Amino acid sequence: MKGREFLLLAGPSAAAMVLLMLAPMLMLLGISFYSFHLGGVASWVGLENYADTLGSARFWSAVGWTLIYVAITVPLELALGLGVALLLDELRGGRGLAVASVLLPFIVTPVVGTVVYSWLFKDPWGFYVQGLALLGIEFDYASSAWGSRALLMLYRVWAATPFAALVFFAGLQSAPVDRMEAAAIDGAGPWGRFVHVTLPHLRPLLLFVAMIAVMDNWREFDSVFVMTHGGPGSATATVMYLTYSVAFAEQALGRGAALACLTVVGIALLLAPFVRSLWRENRT
Amino acid sequence: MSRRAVVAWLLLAPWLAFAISPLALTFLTSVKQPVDAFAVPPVWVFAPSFEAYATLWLDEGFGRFLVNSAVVAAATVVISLTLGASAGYALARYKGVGGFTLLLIALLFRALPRTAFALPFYWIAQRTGLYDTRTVLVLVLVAINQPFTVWMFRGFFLEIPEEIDEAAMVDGCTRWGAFRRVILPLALPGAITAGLFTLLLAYNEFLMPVVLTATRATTLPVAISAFGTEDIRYWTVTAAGSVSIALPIIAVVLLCQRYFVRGLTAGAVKG
Repeated sequence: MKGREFLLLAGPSAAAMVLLMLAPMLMLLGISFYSFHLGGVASWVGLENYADTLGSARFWSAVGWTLIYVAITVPLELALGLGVALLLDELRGGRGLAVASVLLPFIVTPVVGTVVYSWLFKDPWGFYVQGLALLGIEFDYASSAWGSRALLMLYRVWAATPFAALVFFAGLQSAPVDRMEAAAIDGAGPWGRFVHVTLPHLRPLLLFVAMIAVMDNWREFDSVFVMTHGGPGSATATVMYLTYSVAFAEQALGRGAALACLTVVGIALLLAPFVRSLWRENRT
Repeated sequence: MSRRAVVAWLLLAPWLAFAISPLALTFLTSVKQPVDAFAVPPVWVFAPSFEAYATLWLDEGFGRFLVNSAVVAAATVVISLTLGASAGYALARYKGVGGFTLLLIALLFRALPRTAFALPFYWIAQRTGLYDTRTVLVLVLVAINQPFTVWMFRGFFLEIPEEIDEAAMVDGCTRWGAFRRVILPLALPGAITAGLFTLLLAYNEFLMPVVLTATRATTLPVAISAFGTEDIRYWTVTAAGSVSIALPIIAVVLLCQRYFVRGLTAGAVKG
Protein backbone atom coordinates (compact mmCIF):
# COMPACT_ATOMS: atom_id res chain seq x y z
CA MET A 1 0.00 0.00 0.00
CA LYS A 2 1.27 3.44 -0.89
CA GLY A 3 1.77 6.12 1.74
CA ARG A 4 -0.85 8.37 0.17
CA GLU A 5 -3.48 5.62 0.27
CA PHE A 6 -2.59 4.92 3.89
CA LEU A 7 -3.09 8.56 4.78
CA LEU A 8 -6.48 8.69 3.09
CA LEU A 9 -7.77 5.48 4.71
CA ALA A 10 -6.33 5.91 8.19
CA GLY A 11 -6.59 9.70 8.22
CA PRO A 12 -10.15 10.10 9.52
CA SER A 13 -9.58 7.68 12.40
CA ALA A 14 -6.21 9.22 13.25
CA ALA A 15 -7.73 12.69 13.13
CA ALA A 16 -10.55 11.59 15.45
CA MET A 17 -8.03 10.17 17.92
CA VAL A 18 -5.85 13.29 17.83
CA LEU A 19 -8.80 15.65 18.12
CA LEU A 20 -10.84 13.71 20.67
CA MET A 21 -8.10 12.02 22.70
CA LEU A 22 -4.71 13.67 22.31
CA ALA A 23 -6.05 17.24 22.53
CA PRO A 24 -8.13 16.54 25.68
CA MET A 25 -5.10 14.79 27.25
CA LEU A 26 -2.93 17.85 26.66
CA MET A 27 -5.72 20.01 28.01
CA LEU A 28 -5.88 17.80 31.11
CA LEU A 29 -2.16 18.25 31.65
CA GLY A 30 -2.63 22.00 31.26
CA ILE A 31 -5.54 22.19 33.69
CA SER A 32 -3.51 20.30 36.30
CA PHE A 33 -1.18 23.30 36.65
CA TYR A 34 -4.02 25.68 37.50
CA SER A 35 -6.19 26.29 40.49
CA PHE A 36 -9.39 25.85 38.56
CA HIS A 37 -12.98 25.98 39.70
CA LEU A 38 -15.82 26.07 37.22
CA GLY A 39 -17.08 29.63 36.77
CA GLY A 40 -14.18 31.01 38.80
CA VAL A 41 -10.94 32.51 37.52
CA ALA A 42 -8.15 30.05 36.80
CA SER A 43 -4.82 30.94 38.33
CA TRP A 44 -1.47 29.32 37.61
CA VAL A 45 -0.19 27.37 40.59
CA GLY A 46 2.55 25.29 38.97
CA LEU A 47 3.03 21.94 40.66
CA GLU A 48 0.97 22.83 43.74
CA ASN A 49 -1.92 20.49 42.81
CA TYR A 50 0.53 17.61 42.55
CA ALA A 51 2.24 18.50 45.81
CA ASP A 52 -1.12 18.79 47.61
CA THR A 53 -2.31 15.46 46.23
CA LEU A 54 0.91 13.60 47.00
CA GLY A 55 0.86 15.07 50.50
CA SER A 56 -2.73 14.14 51.27
CA ALA A 57 -3.65 11.11 53.36
CA ARG A 58 -6.79 10.32 51.39
CA PHE A 59 -4.79 10.00 48.15
CA TRP A 60 -2.47 7.41 49.67
CA SER A 61 -5.31 5.54 51.33
CA ALA A 62 -7.11 5.38 47.96
CA VAL A 63 -3.92 4.12 46.28
CA GLY A 64 -3.42 1.54 49.03
CA TRP A 65 -6.99 0.27 48.83
CA THR A 66 -6.98 0.16 45.02
CA LEU A 67 -3.73 -1.86 45.07
CA ILE A 68 -5.21 -4.32 47.58
CA TYR A 69 -8.31 -4.55 45.40
CA VAL A 70 -6.20 -5.33 42.31
CA ALA A 71 -3.93 -7.75 44.18
CA ILE A 72 -6.87 -9.81 45.48
CA THR A 73 -9.29 -9.71 42.53
CA VAL A 74 -6.87 -10.32 39.65
CA PRO A 75 -5.46 -13.68 40.91
CA LEU A 76 -9.00 -14.79 41.83
CA GLU A 77 -10.30 -13.93 38.36
CA LEU A 78 -7.41 -15.83 36.73
CA ALA A 79 -7.71 -18.92 38.94
CA LEU A 80 -11.50 -19.18 38.81
CA GLY A 81 -11.53 -18.36 35.10
CA LEU A 82 -9.05 -21.15 34.43
CA GLY A 83 -11.10 -23.58 36.52
CA VAL A 84 -14.34 -22.73 34.74
CA ALA A 85 -12.61 -22.97 31.34
CA LEU A 86 -11.21 -26.45 32.11
CA LEU A 87 -14.66 -27.63 33.21
CA LEU A 88 -16.37 -26.17 30.12
CA ASP A 89 -13.81 -28.01 28.01
CA GLU A 90 -14.88 -31.34 29.55
CA LEU A 91 -18.52 -30.86 28.58
CA ARG A 92 -19.88 -32.50 25.45
CA GLY A 93 -23.66 -31.92 25.33
CA GLY A 94 -25.12 -28.58 26.42
CA ARG A 95 -21.86 -26.70 25.97
CA GLY A 96 -23.49 -23.73 24.25
CA LEU A 97 -25.95 -23.28 27.09
CA ALA A 98 -23.18 -23.47 29.70
CA VAL A 99 -21.06 -20.93 27.80
CA ALA A 100 -24.05 -18.57 27.55
CA SER A 101 -24.69 -18.84 31.30
CA VAL A 102 -21.03 -18.22 32.12
CA LEU A 103 -21.03 -15.21 29.79
CA LEU A 104 -24.08 -13.58 31.38
CA PRO A 105 -22.51 -11.48 34.19
CA PHE A 106 -19.98 -10.07 31.73
CA ILE A 107 -22.66 -8.70 29.37
CA VAL A 108 -25.03 -7.28 31.95
CA THR A 109 -24.74 -3.51 32.28
CA PRO A 110 -22.25 -3.00 35.17
CA VAL A 111 -24.51 -0.51 36.92
CA VAL A 112 -27.37 -3.02 36.88
CA GLY A 113 -25.04 -5.68 38.31
CA THR A 114 -23.94 -3.39 41.13
CA VAL A 115 -27.49 -2.25 41.93
CA VAL A 116 -28.53 -5.91 42.12
CA TYR A 117 -25.56 -6.81 44.32
CA SER A 118 -26.19 -4.06 46.81
CA TRP A 119 -29.81 -5.21 47.01
CA LEU A 120 -28.92 -8.91 47.49
CA PHE A 121 -26.73 -7.94 50.44
CA LYS A 122 -29.05 -5.32 51.91
CA ASP A 123 -29.48 -5.98 55.63
CA PRO A 124 -31.88 -7.52 56.74
CA TRP A 125 -34.09 -8.49 53.80
CA GLY A 126 -31.63 -9.06 50.93
CA PHE A 127 -31.71 -12.63 49.62
CA TYR A 128 -28.05 -13.34 50.27
CA VAL A 129 -28.09 -11.70 53.69
CA GLN A 130 -31.02 -13.92 54.64
CA GLY A 131 -29.15 -16.93 53.25
CA LEU A 132 -26.07 -16.07 55.30
CA ALA A 133 -28.27 -15.57 58.37
CA LEU A 134 -29.55 -19.15 57.95
CA LEU A 135 -25.92 -20.26 58.18
CA GLY A 136 -25.56 -18.17 61.32
CA ILE A 137 -23.48 -15.44 59.68
CA GLU A 138 -24.45 -11.83 60.23
CA PHE A 139 -23.34 -9.59 57.40
CA ASP A 140 -24.17 -5.90 57.31
CA TYR A 141 -21.71 -4.66 54.72
CA ALA A 142 -22.66 -0.99 54.90
CA SER A 143 -21.47 -0.57 58.48
CA SER A 144 -18.01 -2.06 58.16
CA ALA A 145 -15.04 -1.05 56.02
CA TRP A 146 -13.91 -4.59 55.28
CA GLY A 147 -17.49 -5.75 54.71
CA SER A 148 -17.90 -3.11 52.02
CA ARG A 149 -14.52 -3.94 50.55
CA ALA A 150 -15.32 -7.65 50.46
CA LEU A 151 -18.62 -6.99 48.71
CA LEU A 152 -16.94 -4.82 46.05
CA MET A 153 -14.37 -7.53 45.42
CA LEU A 154 -17.01 -10.25 45.26
CA TYR A 155 -18.94 -8.21 42.71
CA ARG A 156 -15.80 -7.69 40.62
CA VAL A 157 -14.98 -11.40 40.61
CA TRP A 158 -18.57 -12.13 39.55
CA ALA A 159 -18.50 -9.57 36.77
CA ALA A 160 -15.00 -10.07 35.36
CA THR A 161 -14.26 -13.81 35.70
CA PRO A 162 -16.40 -14.70 32.62
CA PHE A 163 -13.97 -12.79 30.40
CA ALA A 164 -11.01 -14.80 31.73
CA ALA A 165 -12.97 -18.07 31.53
CA LEU A 166 -14.01 -17.61 27.91
CA VAL A 167 -10.59 -16.46 26.71
CA PHE A 168 -8.98 -19.51 28.34
CA PHE A 169 -11.75 -21.75 27.02
CA ALA A 170 -11.06 -20.51 23.48
CA GLY A 171 -7.36 -21.16 24.07
CA LEU A 172 -8.03 -24.73 25.19
CA GLN A 173 -9.73 -25.43 21.83
CA SER A 174 -6.32 -25.17 20.19
CA ALA A 175 -4.43 -27.16 22.86
CA PRO A 176 -1.73 -29.36 21.28
CA VAL A 177 -3.36 -32.82 21.22
CA ASP A 178 -0.21 -34.60 20.03
CA ARG A 179 1.88 -33.27 22.93
CA MET A 180 -0.92 -34.20 25.31
CA GLU A 181 -0.81 -37.79 24.02
CA ALA A 182 2.96 -37.87 24.08
CA ALA A 183 2.93 -36.75 27.71
CA ALA A 184 0.34 -39.42 28.54
CA ILE A 185 2.51 -42.12 26.91
CA ASP A 186 5.49 -40.86 28.93
CA GLY A 187 3.42 -41.58 32.02
CA ALA A 188 2.24 -38.07 32.93
CA GLY A 189 -1.00 -38.03 34.94
CA PRO A 190 -3.75 -35.40 34.51
CA TRP A 191 -1.89 -32.99 36.80
CA GLY A 192 1.41 -33.50 34.99
CA ARG A 193 -0.24 -32.90 31.63
CA PHE A 194 -1.89 -29.76 32.97
CA VAL A 195 1.35 -28.32 34.34
CA HIS A 196 3.66 -29.32 31.49
CA VAL A 197 1.42 -29.01 28.42
CA THR A 198 -1.78 -27.01 29.08
CA LEU A 199 -0.33 -24.22 31.22
CA PRO A 200 2.60 -23.41 28.89
CA HIS A 201 0.15 -23.43 25.98
CA LEU A 202 -2.12 -20.92 27.78
CA ARG A 203 0.75 -18.73 29.01
CA PRO A 204 0.30 -15.90 26.47
CA LEU A 205 -3.43 -15.81 27.19
CA LEU A 206 -2.82 -15.76 30.95
CA LEU A 207 -0.52 -12.81 30.47
CA PHE A 208 -3.05 -11.03 28.23
CA VAL A 209 -5.97 -11.52 30.63
CA ALA A 210 -3.86 -10.51 33.64
CA MET A 211 -2.85 -7.32 31.86
CA ILE A 212 -6.44 -6.40 30.97
CA ALA A 213 -7.61 -7.27 34.51
CA VAL A 214 -4.94 -5.13 36.18
CA MET A 215 -5.80 -2.25 33.86
CA ASP A 216 -9.59 -2.55 34.38
CA ASN A 217 -9.57 -3.17 38.12
CA TRP A 218 -7.19 -0.28 38.76
CA ARG A 219 -9.80 1.89 37.01
CA GLU A 220 -12.84 0.54 38.88
CA PHE A 221 -15.50 3.18 39.37
CA ASP A 222 -19.10 2.07 38.67
CA SER A 223 -19.47 -0.39 41.55
CA VAL A 224 -17.96 2.01 44.10
CA PHE A 225 -20.21 4.82 42.95
CA VAL A 226 -23.39 2.74 43.18
CA MET A 227 -22.72 0.39 46.11
CA THR A 228 -20.75 2.33 48.70
CA HIS A 229 -20.16 5.92 47.50
CA GLY A 230 -16.63 5.33 48.69
CA GLY A 231 -17.85 4.68 52.24
CA PRO A 232 -18.09 3.98 55.07
CA GLY A 233 -16.03 7.15 55.51
CA SER A 234 -13.66 6.90 52.59
CA ALA A 235 -12.71 3.26 53.15
CA THR A 236 -13.69 2.09 49.66
CA ALA A 237 -12.77 5.15 47.58
CA THR A 238 -10.69 3.84 44.68
CA VAL A 239 -8.30 6.14 42.83
CA MET A 240 -10.87 6.69 40.07
CA TYR A 241 -13.63 7.39 42.55
CA LEU A 242 -11.45 9.86 44.43
CA THR A 243 -10.64 11.63 41.17
CA TYR A 244 -14.33 11.85 40.37
CA SER A 245 -15.18 13.23 43.83
CA VAL A 246 -12.48 15.87 43.72
CA ALA A 247 -13.09 16.98 40.15
CA PHE A 248 -16.88 16.86 39.97
CA ALA A 249 -18.39 16.65 43.44
CA GLU A 250 -15.99 19.22 44.90
CA GLN A 251 -15.62 20.98 41.51
CA ALA A 252 -11.86 21.33 41.99
CA LEU A 253 -10.97 20.67 38.35
CA GLY A 254 -7.26 21.53 38.69
CA ARG A 255 -6.70 19.17 41.60
CA GLY A 256 -8.82 16.50 39.85
CA ALA A 257 -6.73 16.85 36.69
CA ALA A 258 -3.53 16.33 38.70
CA LEU A 259 -5.11 13.21 40.20
CA ALA A 260 -6.09 11.92 36.76
CA CYS A 261 -2.53 12.45 35.52
CA LEU A 262 -1.17 10.57 38.54
CA THR A 263 -3.64 7.74 37.80
CA VAL A 264 -2.11 7.47 34.33
CA VAL A 265 1.36 7.25 35.89
CA GLY A 266 0.00 4.51 38.17
CA ILE A 267 -1.28 2.50 35.20
CA ALA A 268 2.06 2.86 33.45
CA LEU A 269 3.91 1.56 36.54
CA LEU A 270 1.49 -1.36 36.98
CA LEU A 271 1.75 -2.36 33.32
CA ALA A 272 5.55 -2.04 33.13
CA PRO A 273 6.25 -5.67 34.13
CA PHE A 274 3.77 -6.94 31.51
CA VAL A 275 5.20 -4.79 28.75
CA ARG A 276 8.70 -5.97 29.69
CA SER A 277 7.78 -9.62 29.53
CA LEU A 278 5.92 -9.14 26.22
CA TRP A 279 8.99 -7.36 24.87
CA ARG A 280 11.29 -10.18 25.97
CA GLU A 281 9.04 -12.85 24.51
CA ASN A 282 8.89 -11.09 21.16
CA ARG A 283 12.67 -10.78 20.97
CA THR A 284 13.47 -14.41 21.61
CA MET B 1 -23.03 -38.87 29.14
CA SER B 2 -19.59 -39.99 30.19
CA ARG B 3 -18.63 -39.97 33.85
CA ARG B 4 -16.13 -37.20 33.23
CA ALA B 5 -18.81 -34.95 31.78
CA VAL B 6 -21.15 -35.62 34.72
CA VAL B 7 -18.42 -34.70 37.20
CA ALA B 8 -17.64 -31.56 35.19
CA TRP B 9 -21.31 -30.50 35.26
CA LEU B 10 -21.46 -31.10 39.02
CA LEU B 11 -18.35 -29.04 39.64
CA LEU B 12 -19.55 -26.31 37.31
CA ALA B 13 -23.01 -26.10 38.90
CA PRO B 14 -22.00 -23.91 41.89
CA TRP B 15 -20.34 -21.42 39.56
CA LEU B 16 -23.36 -21.32 37.24
CA ALA B 17 -25.63 -20.73 40.25
CA PHE B 18 -23.33 -17.93 41.45
CA ALA B 19 -23.30 -16.40 37.96
CA ILE B 20 -27.02 -16.55 37.21
CA SER B 21 -28.80 -16.26 40.57
CA PRO B 22 -28.46 -12.47 41.04
CA LEU B 23 -30.28 -11.82 37.77
CA ALA B 24 -32.80 -14.62 38.23
CA LEU B 25 -33.71 -13.29 41.70
CA THR B 26 -34.01 -9.78 40.31
CA PHE B 27 -36.40 -10.97 37.63
CA LEU B 28 -38.52 -12.80 40.24
CA THR B 29 -38.69 -9.68 42.37
CA SER B 30 -39.66 -7.48 39.44
CA VAL B 31 -42.92 -9.42 39.04
CA LYS B 32 -43.79 -9.42 42.76
CA GLN B 33 -46.09 -7.13 44.70
CA PRO B 34 -44.05 -4.58 46.72
CA VAL B 35 -45.05 -6.20 50.04
CA ASP B 36 -43.70 -9.58 48.92
CA ALA B 37 -40.48 -8.12 47.57
CA PHE B 38 -38.89 -7.47 50.95
CA ALA B 39 -40.49 -10.21 53.00
CA VAL B 40 -38.37 -12.07 55.54
CA PRO B 41 -38.17 -15.02 54.85
CA PRO B 42 -38.51 -14.57 51.06
CA VAL B 43 -41.82 -15.41 49.39
CA TRP B 44 -41.36 -18.01 46.65
CA VAL B 45 -44.96 -18.60 45.61
CA PHE B 46 -46.92 -15.54 44.50
CA ALA B 47 -49.25 -14.27 41.82
CA PRO B 48 -47.09 -12.48 39.24
CA SER B 49 -47.82 -8.80 38.76
CA PHE B 50 -46.52 -6.42 36.13
CA GLU B 51 -47.36 -3.37 38.20
CA ALA B 52 -43.70 -2.47 38.63
CA TYR B 53 -43.15 -2.42 34.86
CA ALA B 54 -46.21 -0.22 34.42
CA THR B 55 -44.90 2.21 37.07
CA LEU B 56 -41.47 2.21 35.44
CA TRP B 57 -42.52 2.87 31.86
CA LEU B 58 -45.71 4.88 32.37
CA ASP B 59 -45.24 6.92 35.57
CA GLU B 60 -41.45 7.22 35.66
CA GLY B 61 -41.13 7.85 31.91
CA PHE B 62 -38.31 5.36 31.46
CA GLY B 63 -38.94 5.55 27.72
CA ARG B 64 -37.00 8.77 27.22
CA PHE B 65 -33.89 7.28 28.85
CA LEU B 66 -34.25 4.32 26.50
CA VAL B 67 -34.45 6.68 23.52
CA ASN B 68 -31.28 8.45 24.69
CA SER B 69 -29.45 5.15 25.20
CA ALA B 70 -30.58 3.77 21.85
CA VAL B 71 -29.69 6.91 19.87
CA VAL B 72 -26.28 7.28 21.53
CA ALA B 73 -25.43 3.58 21.13
CA ALA B 74 -26.54 3.43 17.48
CA ALA B 75 -24.67 6.60 16.48
CA THR B 76 -21.53 5.43 18.31
CA VAL B 77 -21.59 2.05 16.55
CA VAL B 78 -22.09 3.55 13.07
CA ILE B 79 -19.40 6.22 13.43
CA SER B 80 -16.90 3.94 15.20
CA LEU B 81 -17.18 1.24 12.57
CA THR B 82 -16.98 3.66 9.63
CA LEU B 83 -13.79 5.26 10.94
CA GLY B 84 -12.33 2.05 12.34
CA ALA B 85 -12.83 -0.24 9.34
CA SER B 86 -10.86 1.82 6.84
CA ALA B 87 -8.12 2.58 9.38
CA GLY B 88 -7.89 -1.10 10.35
CA TYR B 89 -7.57 -2.02 6.69
CA ALA B 90 -4.87 0.59 6.12
CA LEU B 91 -2.92 -0.66 9.15
CA ALA B 92 -3.18 -4.29 8.01
CA ARG B 93 -1.75 -3.50 4.57
CA TYR B 94 0.67 -0.60 5.07
CA LYS B 95 4.16 -1.52 6.20
CA GLY B 96 5.59 1.95 6.89
CA VAL B 97 6.71 3.49 10.19
CA GLY B 98 3.59 5.69 10.35
CA GLY B 99 1.38 2.62 10.68
CA PHE B 100 3.37 1.21 13.57
CA THR B 101 3.33 4.56 15.36
CA LEU B 102 -0.43 4.87 15.02
CA LEU B 103 -0.95 1.36 16.40
CA LEU B 104 1.28 2.10 19.37
CA ILE B 105 -0.51 5.36 20.17
CA ALA B 106 -3.87 3.60 19.93
CA LEU B 107 -2.66 0.96 22.40
CA LEU B 108 -1.50 3.63 24.86
CA PHE B 109 -4.86 5.40 24.65
CA ARG B 110 -6.61 2.14 25.47
CA ALA B 111 -4.93 1.96 28.85
CA LEU B 112 -5.98 5.44 29.95
CA PRO B 113 -8.52 5.93 32.73
CA ARG B 114 -11.92 7.37 31.83
CA THR B 115 -11.42 10.34 34.16
CA ALA B 116 -8.55 11.53 31.96
CA PHE B 117 -11.13 12.22 29.23
CA ALA B 118 -14.15 13.00 31.36
CA LEU B 119 -12.49 16.03 32.89
CA PRO B 120 -11.43 17.94 29.74
CA PHE B 121 -14.64 16.93 27.97
CA TYR B 122 -16.66 18.27 30.90
CA TRP B 123 -14.91 21.61 30.62
CA ILE B 124 -15.24 21.78 26.81
CA ALA B 125 -18.89 20.74 26.99
CA GLN B 126 -19.66 23.43 29.56
CA ARG B 127 -18.07 26.14 27.41
CA THR B 128 -19.55 25.09 24.07
CA GLY B 129 -23.09 24.36 25.18
CA LEU B 130 -22.65 20.66 24.38
CA TYR B 131 -23.16 19.78 28.04
CA ASP B 132 -26.13 17.44 28.58
CA THR B 133 -26.49 16.57 24.87
CA ARG B 134 -26.34 13.21 23.14
CA THR B 135 -23.78 14.68 20.73
CA VAL B 136 -21.09 15.03 23.38
CA LEU B 137 -21.72 11.47 24.59
CA VAL B 138 -21.34 10.11 21.05
CA LEU B 139 -18.13 12.11 20.53
CA VAL B 140 -16.50 10.88 23.71
CA LEU B 141 -17.65 7.27 23.24
CA VAL B 142 -16.35 7.16 19.66
CA ALA B 143 -13.04 8.47 20.97
CA ILE B 144 -12.75 5.96 23.81
CA ASN B 145 -13.69 3.14 21.50
CA GLN B 146 -11.58 4.00 18.45
CA PRO B 147 -8.26 2.37 19.54
CA PHE B 148 -9.99 -0.91 20.29
CA THR B 149 -12.00 -0.88 17.04
CA VAL B 150 -8.90 -0.14 14.96
CA TRP B 151 -6.92 -2.98 16.56
CA MET B 152 -9.76 -5.41 16.13
CA PHE B 153 -10.37 -4.56 12.46
CA ARG B 154 -6.65 -4.77 11.74
CA GLY B 155 -6.66 -8.32 13.09
CA PHE B 156 -9.61 -9.32 10.92
CA PHE B 157 -8.13 -7.79 7.76
CA LEU B 158 -4.80 -9.53 8.40
CA GLU B 159 -6.66 -12.84 8.05
CA ILE B 160 -7.65 -11.93 4.47
CA PRO B 161 -4.78 -12.68 2.05
CA GLU B 162 -3.33 -9.66 0.27
CA GLU B 163 -3.49 -11.52 -3.08
CA ILE B 164 -7.22 -10.86 -3.13
CA ASP B 165 -6.63 -7.08 -3.05
CA GLU B 166 -4.10 -7.42 -5.82
CA ALA B 167 -6.41 -9.54 -7.98
CA ALA B 168 -9.19 -6.97 -7.59
CA MET B 169 -6.85 -4.14 -8.55
CA VAL B 170 -5.51 -6.05 -11.59
CA ASP B 171 -9.15 -6.37 -12.64
CA GLY B 172 -9.43 -2.60 -12.64
CA CYS B 173 -10.50 -1.67 -9.12
CA THR B 174 -8.87 1.27 -7.40
CA ARG B 175 -7.49 0.67 -3.90
CA TRP B 176 -10.65 2.15 -2.43
CA GLY B 177 -12.84 0.08 -4.76
CA ALA B 178 -10.99 -3.12 -3.83
CA PHE B 179 -11.49 -2.32 -0.16
CA ARG B 180 -15.14 -1.40 -0.43
CA ARG B 181 -16.39 -3.97 -2.96
CA VAL B 182 -14.18 -7.00 -2.31
CA ILE B 183 -12.40 -6.91 1.05
CA LEU B 184 -15.02 -5.29 3.26
CA PRO B 185 -17.74 -7.86 2.41
CA LEU B 186 -15.26 -10.64 3.24
CA ALA B 187 -14.65 -9.04 6.65
CA LEU B 188 -18.35 -8.83 7.49
CA PRO B 189 -18.15 -11.34 10.41
CA GLY B 190 -15.35 -9.22 11.86
CA ALA B 191 -17.44 -6.09 11.46
CA ILE B 192 -20.31 -7.75 13.34
CA THR B 193 -17.91 -8.67 16.15
CA ALA B 194 -16.50 -5.14 16.35
CA GLY B 195 -20.05 -3.76 16.25
CA LEU B 196 -21.14 -5.96 19.15
CA PHE B 197 -18.28 -4.83 21.37
CA THR B 198 -18.89 -1.20 20.49
CA LEU B 199 -22.57 -1.59 21.27
CA LEU B 200 -21.75 -3.15 24.63
CA LEU B 201 -19.36 -0.34 25.52
CA ALA B 202 -21.71 2.45 24.46
CA TYR B 203 -24.85 0.97 25.99
CA ASN B 204 -23.21 0.04 29.31
CA GLU B 205 -21.11 3.19 29.82
CA PHE B 206 -21.71 4.93 33.13
CA LEU B 207 -19.01 7.45 34.11
CA MET B 208 -19.28 9.56 30.94
CA PRO B 209 -23.05 10.14 31.07
CA VAL B 210 -22.81 10.74 34.84
CA VAL B 211 -20.31 13.51 34.26
CA LEU B 212 -21.52 14.91 30.94
CA THR B 213 -25.31 14.87 31.30
CA ALA B 214 -27.81 16.28 33.77
CA THR B 215 -31.41 15.65 32.69
CA ARG B 216 -32.03 15.85 28.95
CA ALA B 217 -29.46 13.33 27.66
CA THR B 218 -29.49 10.95 30.63
CA THR B 219 -29.01 7.30 29.62
CA LEU B 220 -30.44 4.12 31.18
CA PRO B 221 -27.53 3.21 33.51
CA VAL B 222 -27.56 6.69 35.08
CA ALA B 223 -31.34 6.56 35.48
CA ILE B 224 -31.25 3.22 37.30
CA SER B 225 -28.41 4.33 39.58
CA ALA B 226 -30.52 7.33 40.62
CA PHE B 227 -33.32 4.96 41.68
CA GLY B 228 -30.94 3.39 44.15
CA THR B 229 -31.89 0.85 46.77
CA GLU B 230 -32.43 3.15 49.72
CA ASP B 231 -36.20 3.13 49.66
CA ILE B 232 -37.19 -0.52 49.92
CA ARG B 233 -40.82 0.09 49.01
CA TYR B 234 -39.53 1.06 45.61
CA TRP B 235 -37.45 -2.03 45.05
CA THR B 236 -39.83 -3.83 42.65
CA VAL B 237 -39.57 -0.84 40.30
CA THR B 238 -35.77 -0.79 40.53
CA ALA B 239 -35.80 -4.53 39.80
CA ALA B 240 -38.09 -3.99 36.81
CA GLY B 241 -35.69 -1.27 35.61
CA SER B 242 -32.69 -3.59 36.04
CA VAL B 243 -34.39 -6.31 34.01
CA SER B 244 -35.52 -3.85 31.32
CA ILE B 245 -31.98 -2.52 30.87
CA ALA B 246 -30.24 -5.89 30.92
CA LEU B 247 -32.61 -7.88 28.68
CA PRO B 248 -32.04 -6.12 25.32
CA ILE B 249 -28.25 -6.25 25.53
CA ILE B 250 -28.26 -9.88 26.74
CA ALA B 251 -30.61 -10.83 23.88
CA VAL B 252 -28.42 -9.17 21.24
CA VAL B 253 -25.17 -10.69 22.50
CA LEU B 254 -26.56 -14.19 22.99
CA LEU B 255 -28.10 -14.12 19.50
CA CYS B 256 -24.66 -13.32 18.11
CA GLN B 257 -22.75 -15.43 20.66
CA ARG B 258 -20.45 -16.95 18.03
CA TYR B 259 -19.19 -13.55 16.89
CA PHE B 260 -18.90 -12.30 20.44
CA VAL B 261 -16.72 -15.14 21.72
CA ARG B 262 -14.50 -14.73 18.67
CA GLY B 263 -13.93 -11.09 19.58
CA LEU B 264 -12.93 -11.91 23.17
CA THR B 265 -9.76 -13.55 21.93
CA ALA B 266 -9.13 -11.33 18.92
CA GLY B 267 -6.83 -9.02 20.85
CA ALA B 268 -4.92 -11.87 22.45
CA VAL B 269 -3.85 -14.08 19.58
CA LYS B 270 -2.90 -11.37 17.13
CA GLY B 271 -0.79 -8.70 18.78
